[in-house]
Amino acid sequence: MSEGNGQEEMGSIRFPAEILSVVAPDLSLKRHLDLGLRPCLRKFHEFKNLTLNVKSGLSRYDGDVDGESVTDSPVLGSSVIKSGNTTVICGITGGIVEIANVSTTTTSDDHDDSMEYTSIYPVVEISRGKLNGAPTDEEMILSQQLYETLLHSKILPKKSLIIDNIALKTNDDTNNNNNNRKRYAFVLYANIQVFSREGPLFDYCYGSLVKSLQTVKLPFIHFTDEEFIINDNRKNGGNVKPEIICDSEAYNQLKINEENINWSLTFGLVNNDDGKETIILCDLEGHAEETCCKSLINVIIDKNLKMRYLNIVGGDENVIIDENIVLKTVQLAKNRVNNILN
Amino acid sequence: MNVQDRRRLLGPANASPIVFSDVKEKKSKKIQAKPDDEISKMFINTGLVKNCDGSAYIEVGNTIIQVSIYGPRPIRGSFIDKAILSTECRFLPYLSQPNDSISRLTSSTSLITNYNGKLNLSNIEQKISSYIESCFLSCIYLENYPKSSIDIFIKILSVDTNLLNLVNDVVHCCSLAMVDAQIESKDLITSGNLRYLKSNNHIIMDPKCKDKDKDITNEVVEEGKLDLVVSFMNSRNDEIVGFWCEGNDTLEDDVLEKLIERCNDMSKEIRKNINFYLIESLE
Amino acid sequence: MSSGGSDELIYEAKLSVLNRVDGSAQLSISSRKDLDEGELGIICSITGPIESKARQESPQQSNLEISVMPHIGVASTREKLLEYKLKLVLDRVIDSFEYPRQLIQIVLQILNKPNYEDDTTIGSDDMNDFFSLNDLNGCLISTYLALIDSGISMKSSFLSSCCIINSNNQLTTDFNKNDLINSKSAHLIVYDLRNGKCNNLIYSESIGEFDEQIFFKNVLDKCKKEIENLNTKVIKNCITEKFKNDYIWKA
Repeated sequence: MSEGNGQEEMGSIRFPAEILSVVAPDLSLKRHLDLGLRPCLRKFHEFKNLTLNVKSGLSRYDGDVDGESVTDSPVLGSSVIKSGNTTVICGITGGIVEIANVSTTTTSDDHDDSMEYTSIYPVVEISRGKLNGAPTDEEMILSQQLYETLLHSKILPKKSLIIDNIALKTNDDTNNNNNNRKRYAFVLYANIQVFSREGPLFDYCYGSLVKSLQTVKLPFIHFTDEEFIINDNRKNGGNVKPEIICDSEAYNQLKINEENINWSLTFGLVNNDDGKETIILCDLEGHAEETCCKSLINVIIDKNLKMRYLNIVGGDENVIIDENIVLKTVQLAKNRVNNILN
Repeated sequence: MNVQDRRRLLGPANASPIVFSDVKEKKSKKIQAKPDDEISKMFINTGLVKNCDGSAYIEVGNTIIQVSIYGPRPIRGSFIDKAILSTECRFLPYLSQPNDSISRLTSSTSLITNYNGKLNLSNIEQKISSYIESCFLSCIYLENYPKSSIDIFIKILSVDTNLLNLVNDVVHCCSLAMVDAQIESKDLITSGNLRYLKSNNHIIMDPKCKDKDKDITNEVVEEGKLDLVVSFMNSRNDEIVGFWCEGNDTLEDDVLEKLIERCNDMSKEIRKNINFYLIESLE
Repeated sequence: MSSGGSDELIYEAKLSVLNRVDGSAQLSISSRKDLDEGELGIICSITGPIESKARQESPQQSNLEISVMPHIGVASTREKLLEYKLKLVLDRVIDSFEYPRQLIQIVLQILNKPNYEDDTTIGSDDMNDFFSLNDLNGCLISTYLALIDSGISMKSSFLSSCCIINSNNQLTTDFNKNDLINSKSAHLIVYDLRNGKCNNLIYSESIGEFDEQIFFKNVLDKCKKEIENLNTKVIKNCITEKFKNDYIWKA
């Protein structure tokens, strides 16, 4: 900039690319697109690299080869997803709930299958340097979306969570065949931690949830008799006196509907003003792309490359969403899912 | 859960927690024999988390710690002449925390089904937070950052050791993150941790064993035992910035001196490693 | 109250039902086939543009604050997600640059839900609760009406409709809870309107297993027809009626 000589014209200010993308995201996006690039320097149809790890060592049974090295972690299944800088860690834990006695007999009823699926209760935590513990809107929305999507995907049958055979740990086997004994089922919870929040978070969270679910193992169950005490300390704690106890080693693999395993992908749509053509951007990343791409398409595709969910948001009035562009996006998604799941 | 939390999906309120029977000892671990005078290996990495000012990641055995530092960042409100330092240590909600039974005895929510529902810091988390905070308070040039705050977030992703040993690793992780955040400090803090068995006058350096609950509640006092973490600024005349001792026996002056000496040795050893890592990462 | 609708659904709508807010509307949607089912009833109120809190203010455009209240109990994450989806549509439709630094508050109260059993145990696994397409549909239409009532500037008119493909591969807009649960796929479609005709697709959500071809041919056509029907038979009357009432003292 020139020294102030009164009438002199203003010099232009130059910003480095990453600052421009915050100050004027729309400009940053447009300039990159004009060059045939994106602000994240990927090509339009280029996905971020993705690494999946299901043997993360977080789960109880992770180090398990033949029942030899079970840890005392309560995590029944876990996975870690890394994409670009973003890391998503998902751990699934469980609880036990008493259920009504009737439910399995209703298979003859034409109330068909969808009632027979359930979901996981997820809580997403995105680390972004906030002190108080209240979840942000984004975290709440993600959690709810995960719950609904998994439910509608029909991956987790209710039946798989019902506990059929409980071994009775008492000496007298007399009341073993008691018909009106209570019935129990597992409920599953997921805790999802997000580090370096960037890009299509729902896709990563959903991916990590489904991948973790595939690794879930449910422990064997015993009833406890009166004398059975888990831990000396619980006596002092007073109120822990479980009726049911899980075997520390024996487990079953959770049965899930493998056919319905699916994967979510989100695309951004932008219209560069010089052409009428709409550009599809894969895996939005960075401030410029995330704030300026208001038109989005979210597709969930299953293993057999069938569409399971489609969400189109036409947030940008310059982008006209027609059959052509959606089909193109779906095709991109199918190719990608084929790579990831098969 | 008495009050249903409407901002989280916590599942049915009538669910009860999964309780596992104790893992049989012989199977629970392939006992990795580490000589008592050796420091266990660690994996360290910095700058992994991008949306903060400095971060570090440490893996020691099965213990995994991640620290993010946000700051110095501007604060709202009135003028202050030096930075506010705050520390928050959180375990992943489903982890069982070391000395858990003690905090369980004192906390009102003793029966949590869904770990995700846990909101406040537990006693253990609070203790670790305040230890780290007091160490770094005396180390950072807070007066260089008026009108600002520096927030340290510690996430324990996995834990497989006793409390004080964990604290030891947390200190190192925070120091590395501090360097990554380029916050002006007097020195880099490292610390040493050891266990002193009084009966046979034996010192275990960097004890990795997990404490059984009964060790802490003193139901069975088998032997006099002391755990010690001492944090130093080794390049500043070995000044002590933190000291934490837990145990079930008394500590005499001469023994204490000896223990601090050993902690210092260990701290220096770790400092060398961290220095090496930092120099390497510059290249 | 104007009512009317397509072959399958009856809509009833009324504007200016609340007099202390800037715009309001009440809407009910019920099945023509099965009148015992009950109706989906929603009331929407809009306050704005009003002064916004400093924290929410954006320098060049207005901000939206949307809250959805369930018909029983208090709002939870489910409503948060509904609010988020509503915002995606409304951000496109409301002419937010017209009201810089202002706030527009939209509150939706769900009054009735069709065929809702009164078991309200918290955390119950009622599938109806997890198909929110119906609610979203009602919320969108009633918000549109309330926006017109409030006189807030919009870039375009918009309306929505939802339909399902049932197990016999039939496409229908008239469905109850069980139909929904047993459907192959469920779709919500939002179009903007130009000259009473559907113009551009502005939002869609489809759950379940379906084919792209079917989506573009059958689903979109069906919903377009439903939307245009709704517009000519209900919405227009409703708006005409409102303006008649507004100018009741003229002449």
